[in-house]
Amino acid sequence: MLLRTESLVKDYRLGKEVVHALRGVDLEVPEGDLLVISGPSGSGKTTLLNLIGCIDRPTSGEVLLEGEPVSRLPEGRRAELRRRKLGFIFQTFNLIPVLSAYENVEYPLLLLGLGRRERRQRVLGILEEVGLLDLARRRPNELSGGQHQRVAIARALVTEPILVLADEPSANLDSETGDQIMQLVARLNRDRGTAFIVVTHDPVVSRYGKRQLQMRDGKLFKFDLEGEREEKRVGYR
Amino acid sequence: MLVLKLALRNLFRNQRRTLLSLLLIALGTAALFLLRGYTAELYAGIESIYIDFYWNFQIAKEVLWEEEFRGYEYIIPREVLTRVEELLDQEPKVSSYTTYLGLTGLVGTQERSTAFFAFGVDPANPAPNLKVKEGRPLQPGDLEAALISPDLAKELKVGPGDYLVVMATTVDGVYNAGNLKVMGIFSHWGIEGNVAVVPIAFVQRMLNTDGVSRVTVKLADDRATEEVARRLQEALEASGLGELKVKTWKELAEVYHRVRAFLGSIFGFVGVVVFLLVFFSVLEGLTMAFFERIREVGTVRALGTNRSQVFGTFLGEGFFLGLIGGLAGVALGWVIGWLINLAGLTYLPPMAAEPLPLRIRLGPAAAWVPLLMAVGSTTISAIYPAWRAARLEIAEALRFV
Repeated sequence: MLLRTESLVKDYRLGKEVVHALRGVDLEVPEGDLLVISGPSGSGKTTLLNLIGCIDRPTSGEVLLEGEPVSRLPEGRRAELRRRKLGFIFQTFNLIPVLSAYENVEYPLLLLGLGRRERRQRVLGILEEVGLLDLARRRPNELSGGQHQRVAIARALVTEPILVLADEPSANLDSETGDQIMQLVARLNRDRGTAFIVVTHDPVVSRYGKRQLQMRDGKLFKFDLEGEREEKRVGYR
Repeated sequence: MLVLKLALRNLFRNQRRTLLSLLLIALGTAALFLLRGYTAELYAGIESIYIDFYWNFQIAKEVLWEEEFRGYEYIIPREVLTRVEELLDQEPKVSSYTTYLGLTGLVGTQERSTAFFAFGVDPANPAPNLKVKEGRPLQPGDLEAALISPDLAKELKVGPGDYLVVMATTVDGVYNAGNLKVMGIFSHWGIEGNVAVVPIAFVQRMLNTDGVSRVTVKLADDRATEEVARRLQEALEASGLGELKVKTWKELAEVYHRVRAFLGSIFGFVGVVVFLLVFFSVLEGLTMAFFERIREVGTVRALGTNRSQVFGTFLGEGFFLGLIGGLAGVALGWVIGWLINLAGLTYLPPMAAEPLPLRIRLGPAAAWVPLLMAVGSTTISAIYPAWRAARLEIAEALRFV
């Protein structure tokens, strides 16, 4: 199993109040999966991605990446996991504005310490896959929203991660461009076999998933296209 | 490389802010460069004035330089002087030496008299060699001749061509008298009061001695002063002349050290002011940059960038800001200094008798301290924002709006 979470709980303290962002999430993601988790804002989707992506730690429970518990690992080791095994796509694209599209995609490879020739080969290959080879030298401020997200997808995939975590990848795009981005995600998932977890508040995006789940109040539910959901909390194994 | 590349590019993200910071750093560095170049020339000028007065070093009995001494115990007898001269003749770096003997006594005309002090020098090789502003200098063969200070000329109402009567006590305690003809009036900074410069033979006759009080030595290369002085002291001691001490001009010129300390404190004060201005300006700029880039820091950390790399990026921005601004400042200072040197301006420092050229030393020695201060202040000011950026929690940083 590529990813497994065990009874993940995440509480935040806001002053004297405790916010229960995740209330015990059990989840399994096999290799090559394209899982879409939908839910309203504040339901805990991003928190779940942060815990899976080793950028936050759970209050209790565990995340296992390829069978390895990662929640209690030291920060240096977690940074290493993020570099080598995970890819991130953000709602606001989060490209580095002072770097060109090529350099933004190259950035994770520099962190891996790859040689110039291999970096160039990989960056040009993935930029071609996302259809941005001609715009490689442009800076982010010279790109449209959809192009931004394509660069971000290329950046997430260039290290050949085992899992890409996409947080509302189409939320800042018009519906047509958002649709194109999700088609690209689905194609890359199919062609490369890379597993994706996409979280979204847009139920339409869910149709791109091989599997769909819904999140409400920090719990995961089976997705029901007719709008009904199973009230019982379920573990998806 | 990645860290440096990002640091350099981030620097020009907010061009207006960066250019303002660079301008401030460059102006501060240029000011320090000019001040340092000016003080370097000033120190060199003052050193040459002191070396001109004291020569490179002097040899005398230690008692001469003590606060109080009795009688004429400081006089170096002729036979000892001969041995000293033999040692000096053997030292290849010595270009010239001469002797000196002072006299305290009464000097007067028929109308008025006063106490005075006379420098007994060798007219053929006088030390100090004072500038004559009226009349003529002493010449070889002169015996009963004197150059007098403006104060003494005023006190006795005499000038070149007038005659003076001198009274003093010999080394044996006997009153002695002599005549002097005023040949000229000298002027020199630091020599005030009733002073005359006379041939050493006149002083020796007045004191009834063939000895001298000190031997004054000039070297071909001023930089060898300490080395030759040390070697000569060792030679004196090895020859059984340990009662004689060699003192360099730096040891004799107490005012020189006070002047240097004063100029050093001015330089230090200006340096601290510039350092603080640059420090707080860059601190503000980089702190603003930190707040503007919180989400970006979260992104690069999510991609696997280490805390140390984030720290290095912000620190690198401070470093490059200081380096670019500092180099620009040195270049600006060099151009201004070159123009000042070209203009050939002069000024009158407090202790000089005549105007000195206003010159700025433009060599690398004047550049490295201002450059180091520029780079140091900006790099240090980057530590706090760099530390804050490195400590950011990724999830919080990504949520930051």
